[in-house]
Amino acid sequence: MKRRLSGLFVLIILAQTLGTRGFPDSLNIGLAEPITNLQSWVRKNRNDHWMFEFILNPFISVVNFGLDSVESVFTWLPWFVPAIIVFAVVARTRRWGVATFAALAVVYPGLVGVWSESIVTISLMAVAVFICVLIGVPLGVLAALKPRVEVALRPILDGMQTVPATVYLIPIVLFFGIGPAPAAIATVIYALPPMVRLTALGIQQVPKSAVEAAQMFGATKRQILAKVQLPLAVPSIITGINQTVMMALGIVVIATLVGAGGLGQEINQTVRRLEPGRGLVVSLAVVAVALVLDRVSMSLVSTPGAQRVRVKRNTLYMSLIGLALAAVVGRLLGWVEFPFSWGTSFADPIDTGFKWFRTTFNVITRPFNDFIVREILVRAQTLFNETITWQAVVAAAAAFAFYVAGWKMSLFTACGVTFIGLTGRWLDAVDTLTQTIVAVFISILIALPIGIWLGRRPRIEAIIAPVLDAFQTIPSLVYAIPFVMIFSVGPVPGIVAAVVYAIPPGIRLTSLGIRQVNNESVEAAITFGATQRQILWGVRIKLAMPSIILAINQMVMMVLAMAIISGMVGGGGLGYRSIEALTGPDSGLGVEVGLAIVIMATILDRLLQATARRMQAPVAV
Amino acid sequence: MGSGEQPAIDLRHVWKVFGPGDSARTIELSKGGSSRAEILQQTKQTVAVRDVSFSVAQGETFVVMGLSGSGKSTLIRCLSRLIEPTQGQISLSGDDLLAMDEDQLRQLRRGRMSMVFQHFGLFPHRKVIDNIAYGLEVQKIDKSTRVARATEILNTVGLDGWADHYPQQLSGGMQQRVGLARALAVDPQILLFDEPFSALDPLIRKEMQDELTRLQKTMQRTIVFITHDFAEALRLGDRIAIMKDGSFDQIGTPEEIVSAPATPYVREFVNDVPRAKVLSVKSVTVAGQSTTNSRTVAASAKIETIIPMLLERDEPITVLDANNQAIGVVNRASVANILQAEQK
Repeated sequence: MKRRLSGLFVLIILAQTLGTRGFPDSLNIGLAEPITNLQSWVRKNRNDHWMFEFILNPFISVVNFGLDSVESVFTWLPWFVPAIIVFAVVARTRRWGVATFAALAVVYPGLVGVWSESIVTISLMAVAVFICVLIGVPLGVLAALKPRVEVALRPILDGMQTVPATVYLIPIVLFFGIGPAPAAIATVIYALPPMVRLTALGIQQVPKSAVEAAQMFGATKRQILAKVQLPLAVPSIITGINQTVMMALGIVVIATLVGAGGLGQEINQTVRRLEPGRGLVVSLAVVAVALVLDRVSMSLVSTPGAQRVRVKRNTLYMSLIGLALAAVVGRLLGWVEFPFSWGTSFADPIDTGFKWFRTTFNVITRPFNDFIVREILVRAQTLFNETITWQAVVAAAAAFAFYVAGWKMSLFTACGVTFIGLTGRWLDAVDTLTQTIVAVFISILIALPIGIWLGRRPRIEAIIAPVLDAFQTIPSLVYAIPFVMIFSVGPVPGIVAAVVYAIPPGIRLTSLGIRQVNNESVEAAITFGATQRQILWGVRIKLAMPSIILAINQMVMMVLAMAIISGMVGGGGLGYRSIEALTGPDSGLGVEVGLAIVIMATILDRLLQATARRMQAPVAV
Repeated sequence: MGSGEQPAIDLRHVWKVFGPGDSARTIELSKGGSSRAEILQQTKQTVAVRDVSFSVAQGETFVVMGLSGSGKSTLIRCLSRLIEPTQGQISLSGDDLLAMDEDQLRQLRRGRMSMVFQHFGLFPHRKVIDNIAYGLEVQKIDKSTRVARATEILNTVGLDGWADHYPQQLSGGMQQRVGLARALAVDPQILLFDEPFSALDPLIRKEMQDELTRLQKTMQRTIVFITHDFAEALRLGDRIAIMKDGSFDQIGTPEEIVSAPATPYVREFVNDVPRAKVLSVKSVTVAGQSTTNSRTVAASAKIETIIPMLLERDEPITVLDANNQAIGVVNRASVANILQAEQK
């Protein structure tokens, strides 16, 4: 091992002295060209080719019809009806506080004056999630029952989660054009993986003995699926729907780039107009929608025999009729829009606050901004462009991969890194990588100590955990808004937003790792008279190391996911290119960028996972 | 169809080999005397069941006892075709089990054979009553009939009043009563038990064993019972097979096994058994002697029943066979001899 490593080290030196600095343009393989050709072909044939005329365009019409119907129903309903329904559904689980809160969350968008925008967004969610269930559940069942389907699906699902959303949007714009329906289809593709995965998981987790018992009673495969496997998978499937909704809400802002409208568009505009106050207020409406859908879907999952409010059938019918009457009466009286709007009164003080913050802390933020841009980002650019040869970068990456994961991974890394160069996105990738490293570094400095501290204080964690989880439902662009206000447009607000975005899961995973350290090991250390510090560093952190590495891995993935948002606020790099590709639209560029990000994410992910495995204590054979 | 003469279950040279590849070669290796470990290393295959043959008579309780990894769970799954045996013949009252197609197998499971599982295998999303009625529901029997039948069985296993609870609201012992009731509800001739009581704590286990003995007295099913507990095997089995590394070390009645263990492995289990509880008076009878006092005992009684009599008065007791004919006597010395053997 040692000899091979020193061999690799010599290789790096050789590559540095003999290689070419930067990545020469002459090596560009012109990946974009055939795709750009396809794009022009599609443009030419969009109106008369059979594929569009008989398949894609009718499909769009169906989706559009769905969107319009849902939207018109919600628009017709007086504002209090959805609130009452949500309250009733959640209250069935006897959690009155949660039910009241959820009902208030329904009202919130009305309060801040984005009722109709919320309806547009909710309709898109409803249609997208409906299609997701329609496709995802059967696929998940197939994947669980047929190993071959699972083998085929897994890499696709994995890929779908690393490809940035803007890249998804490109083929959709290409084939479906722009508008609410393409946005819904993009949302479906983005939000589908958890639906498939959790359905498959739910079916696989059905106790083997239950299936065997059903077999022993002579049940047919169909009977086993319908009466044993599917019913037992219901909680998992509903969790899948829940996750799908959250994913769908996550790209609400990005979907506006292809014409989704609604809350996303509102948020997008506040960024352009630099109105962080209104941005936050509208974002909270997205959070409210997420919260309502989350609570409602979770209240549908129940353990068999759990206490529920029992309602007599007649009472139920009576209340439904009453509600319908109230809806009609409300409609006739014109109580459709929410009666008051406090939108600007919420937003203004926030705006003032940010302005004050900006002027007061200019002495800190300005140097911080300049330091990161001039000393780190610009230097990294010159370093990779003018000082280090690309062969040396490939060799170094391969050497590290060899050290943590062996020669196969090393080969994959070398090919992957070279390929990014060959697509012509070398410098953009360097830019994104540097920003990622800076953001991850800061995230580690903040998240790990807090996670380690929290890991031994379960009571405090129980209070903080839901807050941390709530952070993840906020659309990622929202994170960037305040920092654009504070740092002005450029790479730094993107980096800081990425840090804020990545910290919560980092903290959660770290504290989980610390908490899961075997108590006996700690007790053993105590009986040998170890000091608190020795226990922390020698036992707790050592044993939690694999989890901590996975926390870092998760943070890297979160930061990379923010690259697009970073591009939206002037961060440059691959994120910016992907938006350029989408708005062009330049499908060739889009594919190059997409591949570069996927390769980068895959390599980083695999390397960190391998590092975590290396640190794991050997498992008993 | 089967006549009364035929055994309810008959296995001939059953093999099960796990792992991909040529199982015929693995079986040859195993016949040639290679150990499981050697075979695993050479072929990447595991011999789980190795040339097992036995038959079970109508109404008999046959216990297969083995430690974990001995292949007993695989064996019972071959017997129900939850796992396909690699080689061998299995017939149930003369019907060839392995020749059955999926439909015939389903019919068999719906009426003639049922199983009770180690971790109960209950359906957590169904109420107790619906769990018990499951086998009937699969057969598309109408709801009122199956509820009536399930309620009847529910009372038989002593769970009256628990019909509308969910399995996880019941204790382990009660859950297994549900498992037993569910198996009984389809009125099967053959009942398979896969370590049904090993997840229960000792007192409940004893209670469930007694319950099964009580039920079996009235229902007279053919039972194959898997366990890792030798005491349980002795308590329940008409005959016992000791399984090790995929094959049977010995088959016999509890008394045969305890009085004459066939291999050192079987002896290890037997050593811990209180013989007075297993062996019958017959095994300590001194033939040919007679006595004048009026005390008598049946030859089939367990030794422990005569110990108080011998302690009361040190005089021999006359042993009577099934026809009430004297076949000899027992005395303190003959009992002490057999109990002393236990100490070694």
